[in-house]
Amino acid sequence: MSGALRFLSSSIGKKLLMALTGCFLISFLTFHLTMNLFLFAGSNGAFSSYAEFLGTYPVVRPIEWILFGGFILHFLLGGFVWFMNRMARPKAYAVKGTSKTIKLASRLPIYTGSAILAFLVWHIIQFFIASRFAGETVDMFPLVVAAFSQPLIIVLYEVLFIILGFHLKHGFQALFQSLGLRTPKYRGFIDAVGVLVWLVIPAGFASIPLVMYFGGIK
Amino acid sequence: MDFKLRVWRQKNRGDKGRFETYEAKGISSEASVLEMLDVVNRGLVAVGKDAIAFDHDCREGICGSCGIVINGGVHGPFEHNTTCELRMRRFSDGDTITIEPFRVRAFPIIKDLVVDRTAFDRIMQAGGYVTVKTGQAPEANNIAVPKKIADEAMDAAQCVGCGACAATCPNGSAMLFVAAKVSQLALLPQGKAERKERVLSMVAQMDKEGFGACSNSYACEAKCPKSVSVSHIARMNREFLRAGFGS
Repeated sequence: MSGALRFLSSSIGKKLLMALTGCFLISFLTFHLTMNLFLFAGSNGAFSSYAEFLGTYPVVRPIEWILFGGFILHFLLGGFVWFMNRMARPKAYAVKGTSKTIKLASRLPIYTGSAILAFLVWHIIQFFIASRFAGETVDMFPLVVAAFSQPLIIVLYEVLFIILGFHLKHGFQALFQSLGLRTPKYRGFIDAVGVLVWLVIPAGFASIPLVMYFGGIK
Repeated sequence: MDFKLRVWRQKNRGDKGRFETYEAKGISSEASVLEMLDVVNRGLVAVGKDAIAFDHDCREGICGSCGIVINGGVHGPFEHNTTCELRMRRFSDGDTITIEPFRVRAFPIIKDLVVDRTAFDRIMQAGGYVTVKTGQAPEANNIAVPKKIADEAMDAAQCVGCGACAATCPNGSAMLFVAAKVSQLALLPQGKAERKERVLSMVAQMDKEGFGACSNSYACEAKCPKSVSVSHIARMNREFLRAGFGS
């Protein structure tokens, strides 16, 4: 066990865990989006029953804890690696010229990640806690409709989806690099699939509040 | 050509250090940055002042000694060159040029622009070699190395250990250097025998020295005087995984 711990606590091991948890969280986003798209089916659609199933079926509980664990591990590792990286350059350069060769996207994850963390806390209070700890079974559909009838909430969500897109833009290709799979042979393919991840997933989420606000969902 | 220089002066490791301003007058446009510093130093010594200390050796772009940061760019503001290859004609007459040492925790400043890069030596000592008995040079055709593999190993072996990767990396990470060494040996038959221990020991030493982790900014590749590719970092990550999870 100590060997495995030593392996995972090395700089490459930590990045490996970041990549694996990131991969897991992307799979969750895909699932979450699929579920949310049921909203388009309307108030009598599958969304409410799907949400009720997830909220009440016992088998979902351990999976929920694994999901929370994935998020927490990803956040903690991200914060720790960022801090250690800052420590590796105690004194900054007087002229900020090196930044020209540094891809901006690679400097953003800590900031976009922090924004996503802040959003998540709010998002969990807004929907997860509001429905799960209400003491009775809550229909999720009207809860979502009520939230997305307020322009300010929609704007906050839309901004978050743009931030999420940037986070995924760097994260997706970086996870393959950290796993050692971003070889010249697959680089083009990974970048192409990456567009699906960083553009299509956030765009899918972003469409929901807008369509709902402008009356596209009955 | 005339320049105004802002140069980092620091007496020793413990000194706080500060920028000092110097005039460099009548510099040839064909002179390298190092030759310009030679001229400035001659002037300083003539008036009994301490010369600016900087690292240099071959002055033909192959030794990797001349690590300084010019106008915020490691080896100058351009890509894929060493400081000794950077000619003053790339600057404009009258420019103010800021010259700093590498800023990496694992490369402590010894004096002025000279940093201690023995962290790289210790990483090499941790595993950047082969201990297998190779005996006499064998008949070349006995160990077949495909051209593609030989070329990739050679591309990695081009690394001169200058430290530009770590100096330019926003995280002060030595991943490109270590990856070049791990990759070069892992690709070739003689190095394959010890690939597992090598990558684990070299990465452990790299972490111990206090270099940061890779955040995939690929700034190192853009700056590397030998254009070592970040695909070697992917290979090192793969080697590390293999070593950690392999039986």
